[in-house]
Amino acid sequence: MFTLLKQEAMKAWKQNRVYIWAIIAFVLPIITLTSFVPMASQASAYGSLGGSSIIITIGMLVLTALSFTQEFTFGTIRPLLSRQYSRLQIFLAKIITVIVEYFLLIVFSLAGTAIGRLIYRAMHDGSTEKVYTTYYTSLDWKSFLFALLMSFVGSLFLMAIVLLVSNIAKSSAAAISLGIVMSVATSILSAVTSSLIQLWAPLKWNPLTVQNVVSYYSGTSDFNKSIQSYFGAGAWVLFVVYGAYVLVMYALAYWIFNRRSV
Amino acid sequence: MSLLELHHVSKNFGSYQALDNVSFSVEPGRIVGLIGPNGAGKSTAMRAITGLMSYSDGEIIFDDERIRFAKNKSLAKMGNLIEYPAIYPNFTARDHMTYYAMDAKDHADIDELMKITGIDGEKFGKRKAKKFSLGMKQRLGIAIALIRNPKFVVLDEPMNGLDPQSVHDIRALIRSLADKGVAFLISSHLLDELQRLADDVVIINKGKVLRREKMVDFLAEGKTQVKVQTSDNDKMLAVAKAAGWDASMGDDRVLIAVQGDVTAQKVLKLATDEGLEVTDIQTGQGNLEDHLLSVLSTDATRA
Ligand SMILES: Nc1ncnc2c1ncn2[C@@H]1O[C@H](COP(=O)(O)OP(=O)(O)OP(=O)(O)O)[C@@H](O)[C@H]1O
Ligand SMILES: [Mg+2]
Repeated sequence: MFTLLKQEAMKAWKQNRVYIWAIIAFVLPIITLTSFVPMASQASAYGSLGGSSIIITIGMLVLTALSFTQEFTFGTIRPLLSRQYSRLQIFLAKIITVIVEYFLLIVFSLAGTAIGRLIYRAMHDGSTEKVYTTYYTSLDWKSFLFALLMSFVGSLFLMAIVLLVSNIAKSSAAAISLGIVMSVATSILSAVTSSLIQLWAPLKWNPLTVQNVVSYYSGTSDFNKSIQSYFGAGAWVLFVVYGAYVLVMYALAYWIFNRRSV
Repeated sequence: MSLLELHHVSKNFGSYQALDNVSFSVEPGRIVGLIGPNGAGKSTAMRAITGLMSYSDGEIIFDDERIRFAKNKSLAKMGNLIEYPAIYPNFTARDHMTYYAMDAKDHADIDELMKITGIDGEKFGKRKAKKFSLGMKQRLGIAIALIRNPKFVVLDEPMNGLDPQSVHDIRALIRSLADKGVAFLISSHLLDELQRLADDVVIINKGKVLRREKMVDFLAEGKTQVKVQTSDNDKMLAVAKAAGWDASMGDDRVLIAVQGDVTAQKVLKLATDEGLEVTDIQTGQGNLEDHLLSVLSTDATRA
């Protein structure tokens, strides 16, 4: 398994150039925080990692799609699968690699965000504005990191969709575009689904709504209460349902991958 | 016990039967040529052997283990190049070697293998594989199939796009590995090449194995021919046919099958009687191509 991970890492680096994503994730928050984000919006911009958050999600979806579809388009799928390893091991190695890449990008964008914030503070520490700067650039680390964690948990669903499409259609274009649409449009889509929910209440347990709520879950008691009143169940039930959705999708993607003659 | 055995393997794609009761075996150290027309099922058979494709009936045994679809420990000892080389466009040749050697218990010496397959040197060292020419990619594909010191190597059209020098080098490489006990299953439409390389032949047509035997035996079955070159080959052909002989026009000489009372002497006599000047005359075995075509045409008339 370690060998498989090493091979995936080599492909991530040399073939898919994950470092380009890392550089973007690092540089983007420095640029946006120091040059574009007004003082009043600084704190909320940290939440989106100075714009890197969406880049990382898209990056992860692209890397997920590529790691499967390109083996088919390059014709490398045959030596990849014709080995002593089971297809489950090969499948897992790819998923683990993408998740590691995700965290790598998060680390880079966190560093970029922290540096952007420091530079912004240094730029605006004149005697009169210093008190405002300190106020608007303050950061609640605990809720900030919790939000990052939740957006990762929410991304697992998007990743599963891309994984499924990649394995069904073997086309990275289809998988990537669907993934990107899903990543920017889940909130829009859940607005559409909410009108359907009005027609039939149990539809609120649909994967899109569940995923959307999970991604924004903040852990506050207010949030818990609104979940309770909307779903009629505790937050933990929501998480169990979400986990089940995600697991089923990964299992389905694996089932397709495992049965494919190449 | 053979290294590889196929027993009554069948495969359907929908209603189309791509492999029909295919059986043959490969012994250690033998080079087996798998030949047949386009769509005969060569690549399909190779995909089943490498565990990449499910098959409906029969069994495939490799190194005393059954090859099943999608799970096989024994595949560690098999190398393959099926249809197109497995290349990551942004890797260099050496990256490929490093990558494919990673999961091997022991692997070939990378520098040496790159040298023999001709993918060493400045041109390959720094350049990414996407900039390689067809033949360069093909040579890299062969190196990939060999890197993990396999016991058995499946090569589908390995000589595709190779220049004469590379063909020569690769042939020598395959031969030397076979002498060390490595077995090969090689498909190719370059029959002259295969005739020189393969020890055994398996002839497959429309998913069925028509023949499986030693190359020398298969060739010996073919017609022996008198090949005669004269001052007027067209006239030579006409008179040979008029004499009731099985004659045909070759590239620059008339080919007359040796059968019944036909001998080189008779051909020579006929030519001189007709006033033709004989510039060259030889007796020789027909080649793989001629005999393959005749076997296939017999199969077609039977069907
Ligand atoms: N995935 C598939 N689905 C349907 N039919 C297939 C599939 N793969 C191969 N075939 C069919 O099986 C037959 C055998 O194909 P195969 O690729 O094995 O031929 P081949 O002997 O390798 O030919 P060639 O000399 O052209 O490489 C062909 O008729 C082909 O159309
Ligand atoms: Mg083929």
